[in-house]
Amino acid sequence: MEVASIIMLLYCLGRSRACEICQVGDNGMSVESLPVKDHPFYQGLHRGHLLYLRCDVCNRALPYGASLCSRCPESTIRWESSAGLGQVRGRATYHRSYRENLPAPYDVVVVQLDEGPRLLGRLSADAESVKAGARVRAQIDRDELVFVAE
Amino acid sequence: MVKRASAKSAIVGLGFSELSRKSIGSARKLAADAVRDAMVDANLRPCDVDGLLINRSPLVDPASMPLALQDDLQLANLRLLSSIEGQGSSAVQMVQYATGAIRAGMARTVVCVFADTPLQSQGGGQAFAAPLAISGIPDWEAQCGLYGAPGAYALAADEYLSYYGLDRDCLGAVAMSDREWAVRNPQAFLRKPLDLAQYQASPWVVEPFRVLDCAYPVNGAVAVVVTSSRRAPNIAERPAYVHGMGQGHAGSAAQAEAHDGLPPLGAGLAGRIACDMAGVAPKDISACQFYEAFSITTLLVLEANGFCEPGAAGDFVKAGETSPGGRLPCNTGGGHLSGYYLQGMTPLAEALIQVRRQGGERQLDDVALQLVTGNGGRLDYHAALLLGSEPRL
Repeated sequence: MEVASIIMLLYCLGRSRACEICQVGDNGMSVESLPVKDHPFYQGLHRGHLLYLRCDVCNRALPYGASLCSRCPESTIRWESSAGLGQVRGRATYHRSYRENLPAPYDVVVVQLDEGPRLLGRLSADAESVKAGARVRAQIDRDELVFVAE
Repeated sequence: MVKRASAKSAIVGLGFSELSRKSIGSARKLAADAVRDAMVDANLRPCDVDGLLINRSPLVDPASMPLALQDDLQLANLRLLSSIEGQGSSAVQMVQYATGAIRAGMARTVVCVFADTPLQSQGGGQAFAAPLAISGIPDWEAQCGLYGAPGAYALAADEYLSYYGLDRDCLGAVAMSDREWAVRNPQAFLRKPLDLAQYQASPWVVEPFRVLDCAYPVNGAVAVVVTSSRRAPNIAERPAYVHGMGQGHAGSAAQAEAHDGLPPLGAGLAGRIACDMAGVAPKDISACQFYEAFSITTLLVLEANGFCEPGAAGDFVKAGETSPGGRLPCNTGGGHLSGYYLQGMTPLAEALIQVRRQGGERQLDDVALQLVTGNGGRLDYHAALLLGSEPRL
């Protein structure tokens, strides 16, 4: 998947005009088209930080994926470091494995970070008792993020 | 008091390809079969059709359902031709755009078609295993192991059930209600009676979903013919009149700030706009045909449309209100869970069958006003239609 997107990016950069496929234009690349590891969120994880977005003007935390603040559309938005604490809102348990290094059963959770945004994440294998409503903490280890019971 | 207006358009033809769990040809071929069937149903020739709208599955290559479907069907005089992409809301959207075009004078007789072939020789699971992008972070779903639409909907289901402290049998109640209808529908694929013990014995897919909480995919195509409400009685014996239309797209439901414990759904907005257009309230709706690829959707959409208080839809379904004999029959052909999964066409086709009084054992007495919904993404993109048996409400 990653290799494919890099190939697509190179293909698009090779074209002179703005490309509809990945929206790489004359003024550089859009965030969406960056190879995954260059995305600020992944760069943050690499440095051991859980990043989220905030508006520079109204200082409101914004959902992941936002490219502007809906209240101050002319302002800039910035990545900030989260304390990594939050509450599980929903949990899904996979009973089938889709890739070798992720054997079933495993849990995916939606966590409402204390700063506001909702973040998808994997639940630590030893956090089996953590259910919706439970407090969790982000644990980052070698670019990998899991949530553990707080 | 809103004035009740006359119908905006009418659906005068319904056509099916073969529906099968086996490989029965390409989506393009099946689409042509369904369109031909719909034209025969409406007693129209290709030269009578001047609009074609196409809906392919969002999961497939666009080239599998090209605009050149026009040439397969020898539609030489089109004044309207487009592919509509609103994910699971597309089928309802096609009828809406056809209605708009007809009322604006752009076209008179518009065919809308959907086709999909998710089941190939390697089985159906692969087609639905791709991660659904709900996180806002590129490729993050795969990193987290959130593969397939079932996982994304399972998170919504667990959040809903946990917030209101409901048990998982609420989901089972939806599966059982659908099955009760499917038992009465010869076109449905899962027709054996289903009780709670059998539901609870169904294997997990992604907890809280069991296999029986998920849509039953088939290969096939469905087409409908839309025309003006004025012309409709000359074409069809029992046209289905379009009284209300609405869409609601509230932004990513997975990331939006929760209100009342739950993310906002565009479904409520879509339904409200449709009701306002028709000059009716939810209490005037006699039956619902929901896009419910997963059992949870029926509960959420019942509440979003004001049929139940927040958190009360599970009890409503458990009490049999959506089942045969209930106060608000829902998914009367068995829906996506027990009927067949052809995305937005499953609920639309069933509503038409009911208006035409071709429902056999499952035929409803009251078909004055049905709500038909579509939803796509992870509960992100919503569209609604209000269909009635009479040109005036």
